[in-house]
Amino acid sequence: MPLNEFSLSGKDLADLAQATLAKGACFRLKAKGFSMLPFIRDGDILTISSLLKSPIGFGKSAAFIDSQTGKLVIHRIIGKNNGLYLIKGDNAFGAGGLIPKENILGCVVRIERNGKNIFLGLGRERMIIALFSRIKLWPLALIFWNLLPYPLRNIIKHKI
Amino acid sequence: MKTELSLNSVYRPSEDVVGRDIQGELIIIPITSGIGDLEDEIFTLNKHGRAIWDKLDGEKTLKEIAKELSLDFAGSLEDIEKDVLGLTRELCKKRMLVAVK
Repeated sequence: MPLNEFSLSGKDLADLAQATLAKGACFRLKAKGFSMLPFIRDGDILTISSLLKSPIGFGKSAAFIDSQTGKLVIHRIIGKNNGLYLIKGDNAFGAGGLIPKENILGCVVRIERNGKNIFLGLGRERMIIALFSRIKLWPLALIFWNLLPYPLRNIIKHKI
Repeated sequence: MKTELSLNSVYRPSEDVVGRDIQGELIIIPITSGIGDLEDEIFTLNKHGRAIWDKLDGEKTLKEIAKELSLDFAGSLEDIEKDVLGLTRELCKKRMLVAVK
């Protein structure tokens, strides 16, 4: 009766994350999707900490259960409204969504990409990112980005 | 508690594991150094392993578990005892079980 490796996604993943984080432990998983570009990329390894260790905060990337699909989603907290948290993907141009605190399982505390830790988006700069996201400044930021000389963009790309 | 593994031993699942029934199989994630690691450590138990795991309640000895399983599964009691000992040993190595006695 050997122990085998196993992979899973969707609601099952959300269930396992919820159970692990409820024990106060961190949960490490591979990011799937592009909604948090450029700060979290498809294939990045994320460590999510329980709210006991890393409380909800403005600009943090939070892992929550989407009430419609039941799946685990990671988006950035960009505000609070009537006790609900305003959440939005960094790569999304829409208004974002409001979710109750109960749906938030934990916050991203570590991002690993190709074996290296990525810090951008986890420190205090996360507040600026959230602010840009909230006041929908990303289109302007993208225009500014495209105005930068290519070598400079390339250096920044490699840094993040 | 360090205990020599024998049929008289009693084990229970460690507090540092998360087990979930998913798609008919038991998925276990050990929590190592405070991290449940889906990328490096995730295990499944098949029907037989699951049956053993479910009976590891911290009260029954491995011998009693094997005897109960022999009522539900084909095979000699001796073979089932070997399976119970084998899986328990493997789960202990991965710190998924705690010795009670």
